[in-house]
Amino acid sequence: MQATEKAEARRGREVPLEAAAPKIVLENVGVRYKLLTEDQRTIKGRLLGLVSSASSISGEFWAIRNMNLTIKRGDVLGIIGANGSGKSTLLRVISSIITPSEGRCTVSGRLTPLLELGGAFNVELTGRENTFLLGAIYQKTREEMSELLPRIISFSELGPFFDVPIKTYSAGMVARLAFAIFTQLQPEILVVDEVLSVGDEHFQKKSLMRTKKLIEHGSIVVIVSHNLELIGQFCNRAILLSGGRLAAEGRPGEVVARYRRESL
Amino acid sequence: MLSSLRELVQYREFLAQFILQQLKTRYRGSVLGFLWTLLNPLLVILLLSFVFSYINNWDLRTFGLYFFSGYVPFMFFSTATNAGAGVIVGNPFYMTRIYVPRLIFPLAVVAVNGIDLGVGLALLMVLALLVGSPVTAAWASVPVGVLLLALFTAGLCLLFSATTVFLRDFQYLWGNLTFLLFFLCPILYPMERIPPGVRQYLRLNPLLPFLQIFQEAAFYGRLPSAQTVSQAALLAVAAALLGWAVFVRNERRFYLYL
Repeated sequence: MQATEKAEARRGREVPLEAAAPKIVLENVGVRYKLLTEDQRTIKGRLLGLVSSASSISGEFWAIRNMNLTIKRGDVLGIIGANGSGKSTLLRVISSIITPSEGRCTVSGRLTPLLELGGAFNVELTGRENTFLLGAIYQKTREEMSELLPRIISFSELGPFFDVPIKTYSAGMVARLAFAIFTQLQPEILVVDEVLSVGDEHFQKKSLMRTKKLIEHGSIVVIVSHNLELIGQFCNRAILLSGGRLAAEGRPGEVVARYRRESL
Repeated sequence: MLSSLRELVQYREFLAQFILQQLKTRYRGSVLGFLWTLLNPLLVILLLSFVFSYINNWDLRTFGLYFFSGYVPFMFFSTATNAGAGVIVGNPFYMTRIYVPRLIFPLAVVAVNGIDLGVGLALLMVLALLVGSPVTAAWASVPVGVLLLALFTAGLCLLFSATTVFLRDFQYLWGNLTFLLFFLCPILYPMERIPPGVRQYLRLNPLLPFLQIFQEAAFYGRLPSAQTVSQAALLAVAAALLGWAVFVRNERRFYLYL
């Protein structure tokens, strides 16, 4: 146990001693990227970098910095901001894909990041095969997934296409399958990046209903979206990012209004 | 190190699924499907044995068995390390959009190619029987050879997959180096035919003790020397520890370079 904790601390995370209510705490989190020019990855680029000082200068920038945020059970947090304001980076820190360059991010609870729908799918495989693949990413066994299968099939409304390779699907079908799987995994923390805006109106409504149900069961939902209407009607809390900093925090209506004023 | 091992156990279902997915999609759409795993080495052995025994005027049957006993383990090593070198940069989605232990990917490459190795070794045994070479108790050393070679290969896959993230040229460089390595290994020629002056340099080849375990068992029908086995074991453990350490130390920076 101790070894795990040390290792987790190295990754900038902490393991809770007991399973508490789902919670995300960011303390002074910063993520620094290197600006890599293409040729710095190659041997030629490296060698040139040694002799000419010009190409060895590599810029750095902070995608997010000084981020302090606590997300608690029942929070439906909307994250808004212009392109490049650090929304996706923040989601990836929360989803444990990126380790912060400074500060600390502590997540307790079973986290199911739903980023860029369908990307985890192998297009050569069928919907059914991909369901098991995706389940495995979230540490579900074959048996557990088999139990969830009927509900996934019915929610996705794919019918006979469920047993056809995904490469034949339309974008909406892929999104439906992904959403059906993700929500059946019963996540305590659902991290969603621009997904509620895909699919037709019928499916969008259904997804909203389903997400609402997850929230009622004590989940945390974190949504990134450019759809301000959706943030306004759906979230109970919102933050505005600007240049990698927390620019505003509060009720969705106020934060959205401020964002609209500033982006004019 | 222990914690990443524990995490790997946690994600064993994904490891299994990922291996299965690789196997399923490899030959999907081809008429003969999985049969190609069998056909590929069969065609190579027929072709190369014929050509080389013709050029060198060697006995086709003897040479065929000799060639194949070195070719099967070499091809496993070569294909796996080359696929391994590109496996992290080839799966950016899993590195930047989702969290799964990155260790899974190079290890899955070894497992997928392990299937081919198994098929190749079964063919080798059939070939030995066909050409009338007795399958002796020395074959018992083959599983040991497989284990050590797999460990060695896994270590290098970890090392190379991380290297390629930071230095993209590496996978192309390695592709050419393995081609050179093929000729430096006594696969198309027996070591005895090399002048002693050159031979001492060829003996420095780290892949040699691994190949010898297979060649001794399948071609000469005798157990490998203790020296050969201990050399292979030492190299395998060293490669595994080095690859693991380099990979685990650098995996959190992969994101920045993909």
